[in-house]
Amino acid sequence: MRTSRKMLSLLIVIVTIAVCVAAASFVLKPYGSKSQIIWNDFRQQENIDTLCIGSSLAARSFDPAAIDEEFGTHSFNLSTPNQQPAESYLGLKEAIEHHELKSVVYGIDFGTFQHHSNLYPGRVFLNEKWKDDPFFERFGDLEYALGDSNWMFKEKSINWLFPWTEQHARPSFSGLMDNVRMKLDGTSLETAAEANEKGWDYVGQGYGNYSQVVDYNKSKPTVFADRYESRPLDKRSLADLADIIELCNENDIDFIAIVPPMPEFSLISLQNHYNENSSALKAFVEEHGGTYYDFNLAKPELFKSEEGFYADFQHCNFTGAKATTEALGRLIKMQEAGESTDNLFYSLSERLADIDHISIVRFKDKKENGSLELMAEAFAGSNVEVEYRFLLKDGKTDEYSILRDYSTDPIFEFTPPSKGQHMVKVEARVVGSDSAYDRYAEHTVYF
Amino acid sequence: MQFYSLAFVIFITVAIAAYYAIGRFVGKGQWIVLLCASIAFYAFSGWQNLIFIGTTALTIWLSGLAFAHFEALSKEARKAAGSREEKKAIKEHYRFYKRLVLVAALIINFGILGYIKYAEVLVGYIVPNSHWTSGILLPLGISFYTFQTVSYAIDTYNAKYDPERNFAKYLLFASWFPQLIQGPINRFDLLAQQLFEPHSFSAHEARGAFLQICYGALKKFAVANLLLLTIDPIIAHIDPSIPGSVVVIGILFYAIYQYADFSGGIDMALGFSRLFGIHMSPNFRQPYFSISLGDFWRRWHITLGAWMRDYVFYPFALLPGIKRWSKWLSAHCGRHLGRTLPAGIANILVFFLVGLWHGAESHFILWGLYNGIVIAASDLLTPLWDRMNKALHIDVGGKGHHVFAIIRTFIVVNIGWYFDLIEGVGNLNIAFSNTLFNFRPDLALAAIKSYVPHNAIIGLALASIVCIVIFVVSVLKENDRDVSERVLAAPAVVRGLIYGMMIVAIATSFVFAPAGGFMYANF
Repeated sequence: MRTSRKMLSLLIVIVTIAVCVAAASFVLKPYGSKSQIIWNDFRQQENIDTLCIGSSLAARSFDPAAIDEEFGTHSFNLSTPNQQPAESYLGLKEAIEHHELKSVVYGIDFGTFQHHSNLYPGRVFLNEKWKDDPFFERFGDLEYALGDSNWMFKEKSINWLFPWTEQHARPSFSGLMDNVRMKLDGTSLETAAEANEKGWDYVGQGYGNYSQVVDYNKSKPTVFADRYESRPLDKRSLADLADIIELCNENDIDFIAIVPPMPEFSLISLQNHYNENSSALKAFVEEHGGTYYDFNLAKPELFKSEEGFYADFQHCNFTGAKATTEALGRLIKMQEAGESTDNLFYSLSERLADIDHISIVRFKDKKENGSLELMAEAFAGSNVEVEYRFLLKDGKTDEYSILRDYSTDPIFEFTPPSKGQHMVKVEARVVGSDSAYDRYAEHTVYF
Repeated sequence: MQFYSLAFVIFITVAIAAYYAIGRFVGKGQWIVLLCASIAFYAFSGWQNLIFIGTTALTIWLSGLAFAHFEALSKEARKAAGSREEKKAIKEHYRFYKRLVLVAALIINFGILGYIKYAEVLVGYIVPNSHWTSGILLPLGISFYTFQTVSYAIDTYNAKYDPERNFAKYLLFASWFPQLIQGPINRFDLLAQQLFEPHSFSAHEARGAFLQICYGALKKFAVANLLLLTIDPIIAHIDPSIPGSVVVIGILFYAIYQYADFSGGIDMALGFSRLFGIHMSPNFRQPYFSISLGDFWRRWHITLGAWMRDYVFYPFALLPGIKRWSKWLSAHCGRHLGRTLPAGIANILVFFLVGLWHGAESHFILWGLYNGIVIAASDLLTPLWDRMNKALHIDVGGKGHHVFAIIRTFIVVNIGWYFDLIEGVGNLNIAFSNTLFNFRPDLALAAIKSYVPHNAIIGLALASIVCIVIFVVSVLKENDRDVSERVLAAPAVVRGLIYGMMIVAIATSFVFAPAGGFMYANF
């Protein structure tokens, strides 16, 4: 009797804990994540013959409608944010099981090839994939995905029980309330996703994007090299890529790897490291029987990278994705016609030399012996000579006064007139230009 | 192996199941399960580390046996001796050998600790920019197990208790896995018997342990880790332009961070140990309710304080030279000075060593000396305070004064955290000088927003809620309320809700901050 009361008490405690976790999950787990919409849409499709896979770079560079318009195909973009090569493999496998695929376009993201992220049961991609899968299929996916058991030693090995730790609603009172409301009032997934991601529009066939254009005169712009360390390619990620190509080969599917275009300043930021990774990946893909095209090195006759193509430092917007997909269509047609495509791409040094302008400028400040050292950095073509000038904004009149006029020296020692905050601006232009400036950056410095 | 990982959950589940199954079905040898679990736990942090802990355990265990051996020989010889002088000479003779063994054991073990922990910094002092490294990663918990085993060596040298004859059992005492990450520094006479004696499963004990583990994890993950995201950028921005108000916010956060990280980790360690029915020594007792710095150190890192008291303070204060000096001072300068001045010197020595224990970097030494000097000065000036209180008619026994003393001590402790947290004398100068002369509270918010990621600022909201809970629990504990027992006696639904909310808060902390190790894990 005593034992059964103790067991009942334990059971009540466990159930109450589970209710708390479920309640937190209901409030915090976002309704209308991109993975949720894409997988949901994927299950409603029939006869997909062209599949795009990869991370957010692929998700925002390939417009399935543009491919279909060119070829009369039925495409679907199954790319999701931060999709790892192992997840792309599992997605592809699922697509092969349900559709007769003819082509696969894989968007290369150097970030996912520089380190291996362990997959574990909490991954959003896997959870959305599993929603309609038979229960035991999960074990097959995990067996493939887990591979090394290191994940068991990390916090994520427990946190998969708490799905909001992987992806959560906007962490504010109104964000959480909106999330609950949308779950309860029958809001569609698309509407919820668009509400969660301001500016993101879902078009269909797995594809959604932003219209915004990156600000080239941003206060503190991020470039690709800031986010991704210079590391060699990860062997496990490459093995996953080999599995993807192998799966395509086994099922007689054309495999095309594409490096989606990024803004010029991001390409410039990577310099030779970009070359190392891109060349190694190209050799790897071709060695395994796939085709590899790098749109960052494309010549203008194939794809002319324009400033209006990008939503941020690495992703295309709607316009960029359409232009990329159309260029991809031209490439595929040339490939099918047996024409050579080699002369449509630059080497990295040729590409950098082809840039004849300043993409962005930014500056850092450092306190040195009672003054501020302002260090400007312009991202420009390799043959472009840049000059800089520094300005100070008057807090009362909002007018700028020149601290130092144009000079090719990017460093300027500045002693602010008083302690506190100061708005400083750096302007950059190509030497010989008669414009007031080509690019600028401004932000507050503290003294 | 991280406590917060599936690997550890599996590890401890298997260990507990094996431990109680052996107890139930075999009836003896449970301690062997603990030993295997401890070695396995340590091996997961790097098998090479086993060499270090093995060397320490072996040398100290052998020294304990040697003391007993020499003691036995001494006794036998003294029995056979005739005169008192002869007996005294024999005792001295064997004491010399014992001392030799003790010194050798201390040199070996403090030598290993010193080489691994301090050589790099010391070489840096001697040859600036040498970039020399010992090439050895600090073995997990080396400071803790070295201090713990050295206490055994000194206690057996003083014949406080009999040495352990079984090396495997001694190794278990040295390597008991919950204490390995960051202590507490257990004593052999308090812990060993618990490790070796049989235990049967107690549901009440397990429930208490689970609550303690959750509470510790709450402090560590939902407070310490979240605050660190704000502290690090503030400290990284220490330069002449930083407003003093921002430095103060950084220091106050650091005060909470230190407590939440260290005491949270200790709570988890104590809880895991309790799951096996083994109670380790407590290490914290609401330290921020202390009424003096001396009181603070009796509530903060209690086992280190007790270690320093027993193995440094008293041995130093009772040195014949110090005793003679104390007597001389009492005779010539008054009893108060005769008592407090030698004790003050001993305190300064103790806290110099506490600083050194934290690291050989100058800011740790300064922090240690600051604590020692403040405690010494406070003792020396006691008559002055007493007279002042009397003159001003201050009721030192009243609640008002008690609260004042708590606030005063909190400020004194926080001044100490400047030394502990901020590296480099130049930065320390800036931090103190801006706190005093460039406070600028008007710039605080803007500066913090520019230094600290937005995500971290949102995480502070969660940390604040949990801090309030911890504060309330601390107030109740300070007033001798057994919060744990109250929770365990609550209806199952209430308990489930408390556990559930703690678990949700812990998990949610990972939305803002990665796990991160315990601060004292590298000591």
